[in-house]
Amino acid sequence: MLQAINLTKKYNDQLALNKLNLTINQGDVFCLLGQNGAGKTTTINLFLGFIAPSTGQALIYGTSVAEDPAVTRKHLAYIPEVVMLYANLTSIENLDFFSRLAGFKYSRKELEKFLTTVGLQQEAFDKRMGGYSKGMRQKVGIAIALAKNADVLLMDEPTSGLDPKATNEFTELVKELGKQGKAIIMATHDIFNAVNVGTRIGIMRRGELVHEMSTENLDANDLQKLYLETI
Amino acid sequence: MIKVIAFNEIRSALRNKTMVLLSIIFWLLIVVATFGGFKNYTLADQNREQAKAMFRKEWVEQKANPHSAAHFGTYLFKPFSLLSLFDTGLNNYTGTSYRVEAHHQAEMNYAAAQDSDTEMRFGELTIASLLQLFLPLLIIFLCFQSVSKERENHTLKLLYAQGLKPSSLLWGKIAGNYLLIGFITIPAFLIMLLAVGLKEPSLLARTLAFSICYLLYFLILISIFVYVSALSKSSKNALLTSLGLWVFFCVMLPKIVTGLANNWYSLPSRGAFNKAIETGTKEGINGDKDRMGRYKDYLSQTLAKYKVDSASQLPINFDGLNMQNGEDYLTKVYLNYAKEVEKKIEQQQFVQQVLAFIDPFLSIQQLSMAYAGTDYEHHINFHQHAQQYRDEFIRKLNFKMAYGDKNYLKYDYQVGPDFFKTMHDFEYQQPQLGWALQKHQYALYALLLWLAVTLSLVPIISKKIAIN
Repeated sequence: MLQAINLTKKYNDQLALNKLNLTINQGDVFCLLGQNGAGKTTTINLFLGFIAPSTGQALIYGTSVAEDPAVTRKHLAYIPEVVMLYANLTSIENLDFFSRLAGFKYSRKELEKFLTTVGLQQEAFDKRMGGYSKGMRQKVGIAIALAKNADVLLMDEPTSGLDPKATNEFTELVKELGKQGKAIIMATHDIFNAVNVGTRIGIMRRGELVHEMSTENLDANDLQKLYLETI
Repeated sequence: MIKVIAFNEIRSALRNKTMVLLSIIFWLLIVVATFGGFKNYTLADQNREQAKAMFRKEWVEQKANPHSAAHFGTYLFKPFSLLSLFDTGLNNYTGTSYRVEAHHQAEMNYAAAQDSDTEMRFGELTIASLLQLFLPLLIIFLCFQSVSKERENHTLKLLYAQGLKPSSLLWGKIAGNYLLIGFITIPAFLIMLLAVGLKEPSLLARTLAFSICYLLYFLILISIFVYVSALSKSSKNALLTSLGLWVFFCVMLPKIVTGLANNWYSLPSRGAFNKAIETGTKEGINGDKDRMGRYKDYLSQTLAKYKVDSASQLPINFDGLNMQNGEDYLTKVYLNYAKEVEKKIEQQQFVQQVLAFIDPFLSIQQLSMAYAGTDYEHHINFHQHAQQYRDEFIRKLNFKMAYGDKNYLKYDYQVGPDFFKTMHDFEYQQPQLGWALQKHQYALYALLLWLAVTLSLVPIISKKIAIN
């Protein structure tokens, strides 16, 4: 579903991403680890088509993102690190607005169902999002991604700043999505969470994917050791 | 998608208290401007009607020597339309009444600016000044963060990820903000149309043109300020840039243009102009003989025509004829010098029209005055009609002296209401809308060009919106 072929991004002389080769299939939850500036966000932005590759290709269902971002964006949903949304709209209104942009018109009931699925409490539905905690905003962000009904989910450090309970809820949700057959890329700093939620792990350093492994029989402590040795 | 964005823009603005407050302030100002304008309008209209009636009554009821009557003269008044309330234009400076008098070609006089100093300097609060200067500020506050805030808020990425095209984002922002400005201003235009429709239906076409031009002007401004927001690094920068543009295009450039036009084509002073006419009539222009020479020629021509030897043998009053001959020469001299001044003013006007292509404010300023009938072209049109009426008026009186009846030689020759009644009153009809359109066609082309250019920039600007 998702493929990177020699994907490279240069900013002037700085290599942000160097010849990334990667294939992600249905049901894969691919967790990208690495320090800030290792190329995680660059990879996600290339798949989203927000930036153009210097060389190489990012493909979604075989279509090049750079060539036809309108088509490739139909297949994917995005959860940014900071889900801000519109502070003077309620969560229902935000969800409705972003769904309409993606071409979906949901009834109030359907919208409520999405919000319930991600674990947002009913009382918050009609409150303006300006007063929401980060965890609550993140949930609405996930609901927007769910409502888009996309096969590919791109997440940029979605758990940073969430409290342990919210992180746990989020992890369960992502696992569930993986089981449903979505392809997921998640950039994260949380090694233990990565082992828990991911099916595969990649460790990046200075724009290169240095290690790639399956999480089957992988111990978080071993991974942490490897990670620290790598960077 | 454009619709979804536009709807969201409107909803967000309505939930923003500042925006609602600004709209209320705008409406209060409109009410104050309309009320003040209407009060002035009714008062001035009343005064004018009274004065007109009084002068006419005095005129027809007098018993006087025709030449004394010519000295007594009368006053002509520029008609006051309801539209001039929306845009007072040059009326405050050009004056609205015209003196008819023997031996003297008058200019328009009694301008409001002559006796109300501070108010005029500060700028009168009219609907036009609100729409031209205040409303752009409202548009800036509405639009400055339209795109930049999406970026600062990180919603821009999410919008694109949901499949929104950058060009649709811009179209949606422009459409949403335009509808909002429409909600605020269209009721004001409808009220104007209604008022004009009830009081002076013949001006409906002008009022409609007036309203449409303003609505086009707002669309140009909204797209410009949305672009500024799209291209600025932050909302703060967008606001500063927008306000800078406002100061430059709406305040500074119009002043500079006026200064330049005045510098390039400077006008003589009223004193110098009057002096030139005085000297011209005394000494003759373009190689004509001086006053005495012209008198002698005219006398011998007239004597030859009636085949007599002296003025006293003439079957007519030569003084009357000669006075008209003098009037004809005065008109010739006056038109000769007035033509030069008018040519310079036309050149100044042309500078303004051409520079409207670089400043839409100049374009709407001219169009607004033109459709309200308060611009220079309408002024000069009225003045020409008044001047022609004056020449005809004086001629009739002089000829009455010359050919009147047998008593013409008597010193106390007088005529009464029977004659004065036959002199028709001055009637002036403002030119039609088409005339005004044609006179200001370049300003209109400039406005339309601005509209076409700004809207066609959407695809170009949309490629330049930074994501981070």
